[in-house]
Amino acid sequence: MIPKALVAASIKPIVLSVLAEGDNYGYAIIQRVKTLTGGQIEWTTSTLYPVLHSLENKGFLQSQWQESEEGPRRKYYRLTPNGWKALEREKQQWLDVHQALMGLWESQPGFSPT
Amino acid sequence: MTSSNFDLNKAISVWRRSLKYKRSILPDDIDELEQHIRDQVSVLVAEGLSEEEAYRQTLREMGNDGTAEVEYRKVYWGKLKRRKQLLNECLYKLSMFNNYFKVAFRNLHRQKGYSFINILGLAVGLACFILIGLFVRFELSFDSFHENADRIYRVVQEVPEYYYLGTNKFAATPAPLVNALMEELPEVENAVQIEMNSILLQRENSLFSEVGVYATQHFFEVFSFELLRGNPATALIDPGSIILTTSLAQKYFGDDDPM
Repeated sequence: MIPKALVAASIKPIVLSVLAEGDNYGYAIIQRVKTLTGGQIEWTTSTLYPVLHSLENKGFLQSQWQESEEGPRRKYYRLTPNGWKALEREKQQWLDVHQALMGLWESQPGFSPT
Repeated sequence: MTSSNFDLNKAISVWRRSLKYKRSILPDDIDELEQHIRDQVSVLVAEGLSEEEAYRQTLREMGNDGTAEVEYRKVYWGKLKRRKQLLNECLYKLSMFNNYFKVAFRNLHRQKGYSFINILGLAVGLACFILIGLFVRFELSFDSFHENADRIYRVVQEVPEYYYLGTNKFAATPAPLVNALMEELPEVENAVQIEMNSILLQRENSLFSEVGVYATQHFFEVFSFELLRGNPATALIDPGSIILTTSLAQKYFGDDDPM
C-alpha cells in the first residue's frame, strides 16, 4: 500500500506522463495508472478530476469535449507546450531523487534490483 | 429479478440533482463525472454484475460528496478565472447580500427567545469590553508627559484590617521615609515627598484659602513640569519659596510682576 502523501506527491508527474502518451479522458487515465501499478495506485474521482482541473487552470493542459464514433461524449485532456515543459521539470526532479536512492541502495549488501 | 425495475438513467438524474446546488462543482464537471460513472458501470456490468449493483458499487467507490466538494472547491476560483467568469461570480455573491439580511431578520423574528438571549449576551459582552477598554485607556492617559514616567513610583502604606472606601492601601507615609529610602536603597535614584493641603495665602489686602502641594526640593528632578518663568533647579531650595499657577499669580499680583 502506497501511503497517501506519496500518492498525492506523485499524481502530477504521473498524470502529465500518461497524457504524454496521447490525449486521454479521466476514467481511462485512472485505469491506465491502475494497470501500470498493479492496482497499487487507484485514484478516486475526487482525487483525479480536481487535479486535472488545477493543471488546466495552470495552463499545462487543455480540455475538449469529443464525440467518439457512436460512443458517448467525453472530455479529453491534452498537454500544452507549457505542460510538456512542466513534465520535463518533473522528470528531472524525480530522476534526481531516484538516482540518490539507487546510489544508496546499490552499495548495500543484499540489495537486489527488482 | 429484483433489479428489473432499476433504471440507470433515472438513478443518474437523481444523482445529478444532488449535485445541482453545490456551486463549486460546475455543470461541466457534473457531465464529466456522469460519463465516469457510466464508463465504470459498463465495465462492472461486463464483469457480470447487475446494473443496479454496478451503479451502487461505483458510487461507493467515488466516496461521499463532502470530500469531492472540498477538492473541487480548491480549483473553483482558478476555473472561473480561466473562463473569465470571476466578475460574474462576484456580482452574484453581491446580489445575494440583500437576501442574506432578509433571511437573517426572518430568523430573528421566528426565534424570539433565542434572539433575545443571543443579543443580550452580545450586548453585555460588548459593554464589559468597552468599559474595560475605557478604564485602561483612562489609567494610561495621564501623567505620561513626565520624562521619567516609566521610572516614577508612588510609595503606599498598607494598613492591615483597616479598610476605607474599599482599600487598605494609603498614600500617606511617615515623613522620615523619603530620606530612609534614599540612603538605604541604592536602586532609588531620587525621592520626593509631597503633601496636599489647604493653605492660607496673603498679599497685602488679599487673603484667601487655597489648596496647594508642599514638596521637597527635588520635586522638579523627578517630575518634568515646565515652568513659565524661573529656574526649576533652584526654585525650591529656599523652604519659603512658592510656585504659582498663572491664574493664582493673576489673582494676587494682577498686572504686577510676581517675580
